[in-house]
Amino acid sequence: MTTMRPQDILLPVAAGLCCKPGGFHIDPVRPVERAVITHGHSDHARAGHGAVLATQETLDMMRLRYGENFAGSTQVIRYGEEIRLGDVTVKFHPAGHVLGSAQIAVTCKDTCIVASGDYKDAPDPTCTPFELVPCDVFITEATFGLPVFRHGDASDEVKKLLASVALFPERAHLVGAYSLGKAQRVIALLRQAGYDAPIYLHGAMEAITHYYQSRGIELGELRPAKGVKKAALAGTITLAPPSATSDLWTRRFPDPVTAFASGWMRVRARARQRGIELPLVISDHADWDGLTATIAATGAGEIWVTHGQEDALVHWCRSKGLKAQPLDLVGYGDEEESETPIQDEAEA
Amino acid sequence: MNRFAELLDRLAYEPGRNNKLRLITGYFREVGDPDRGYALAALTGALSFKHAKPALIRDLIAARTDEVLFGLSYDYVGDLSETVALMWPRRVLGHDESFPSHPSPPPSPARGEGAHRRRGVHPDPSRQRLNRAKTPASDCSRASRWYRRERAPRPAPASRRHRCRARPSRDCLRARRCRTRHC
Repeated sequence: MTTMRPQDILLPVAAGLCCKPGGFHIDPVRPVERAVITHGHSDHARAGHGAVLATQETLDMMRLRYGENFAGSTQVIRYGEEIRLGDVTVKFHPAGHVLGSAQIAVTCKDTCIVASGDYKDAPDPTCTPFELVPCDVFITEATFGLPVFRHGDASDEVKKLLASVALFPERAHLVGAYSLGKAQRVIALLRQAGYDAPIYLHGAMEAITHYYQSRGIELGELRPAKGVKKAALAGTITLAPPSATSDLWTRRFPDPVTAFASGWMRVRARARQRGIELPLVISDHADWDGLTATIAATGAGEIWVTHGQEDALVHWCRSKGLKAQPLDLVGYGDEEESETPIQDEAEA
Repeated sequence: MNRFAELLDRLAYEPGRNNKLRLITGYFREVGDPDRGYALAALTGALSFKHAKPALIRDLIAARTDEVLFGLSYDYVGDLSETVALMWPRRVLGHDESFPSHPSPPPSPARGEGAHRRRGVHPDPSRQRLNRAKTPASDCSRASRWYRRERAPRPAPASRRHRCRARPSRDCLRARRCRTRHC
């Protein structure tokens, strides 16, 4: 038998990244029989699969979001644990993206492909740090795959927020942050910076934040913003989903300063589009330097790029002598055709 | 200089005048001389940079980055100086001074926009209103222009737009039941 090509192990199809020899999909976008899931963000973890293999945290988050019957059956896998599925072995490694996020190493014979899902190499007090996994093919995201995205130190951004709270003690500070991962990271960073006043929460992020606390992540005193008098919210910090910060909901706050914690805030036009007054460059994704450093360090000779600004990262890889292509083009021109490319809305 | 950059950033995003003033006073309180002097000069348009022109900036970034990556980035960001600032290779040394081993050239008050204003100062001190600190065509005014534009009425979606008989050349901004006089 001839040696196996990487696209014989993993191939993008309409339902997601398909592993034929293993009989499963990674982060499928449509209901499939067997799904292996990297992390709990809604563009990766969807309800309705027959069987789901993921970390305990990811499964718990899916249960919180989709209810008890989100999948036919579930199986827990720990970081570092190896499981045989069909002709391949699957091993989970921490991705440093959000609580429970994992990179999935798929090995068949002597070819190892790592599907990293979303990842970041920056320190984060709310999740296990990213682990570098040497491999032959590395599937990387490219959410911030342009050299203009360089995030800097998240704790400096939090200092900016605290300086603003000190300068405007009569105004409320509203911080838009994705409710899974980002919000808890911002709270943890605020606590690290010595802010010990109660932090208020929008109703939509209470459940997931309390789940983080139940997993032993210290977030200090948290209170619901609902039912608090307007005057009492002066000088406080409230976390809310990004959509709520431009909503009627904000009228309960005294002259709110609208902040948004996201890697997109690096570019001014993006902040202005949303009417943000205090952009905080805090991201759950690797920035350009993180992406390129990680790609180089995996030692992979072939890179598949997905989720965002593929062109620039593919160009960079090729300029470094690495074989690279956008993931949705992998397998094109083979006898096995793939259908429409996967387009996911990345939570940044 | 980083603190000043921070101030400019906040000013650019802050729509309220009083809040802008708070930010500026906060800055002048916090930062010592000579930095705040330079900041005042920059805010009032008294600083001029003779050589920092777009062509030079383009050449400098071209010598430091990949052409394709710069093109893709510029296309995404849309602003030359912002793209260059974001892409500029990081320095390894401390970041207190402007350039390592190259002290900043003394800014020249004789060339800047503020200098022109000074020439127009009225001899009567009570009428020297031109001395007031005013931000030049900088990010502040751009931000406020943007702010106004964002709040301007938007045209109705094409499907709901109607043919305006009186002004066929222009699209009427209202939806179907338009009660303006020209209809």
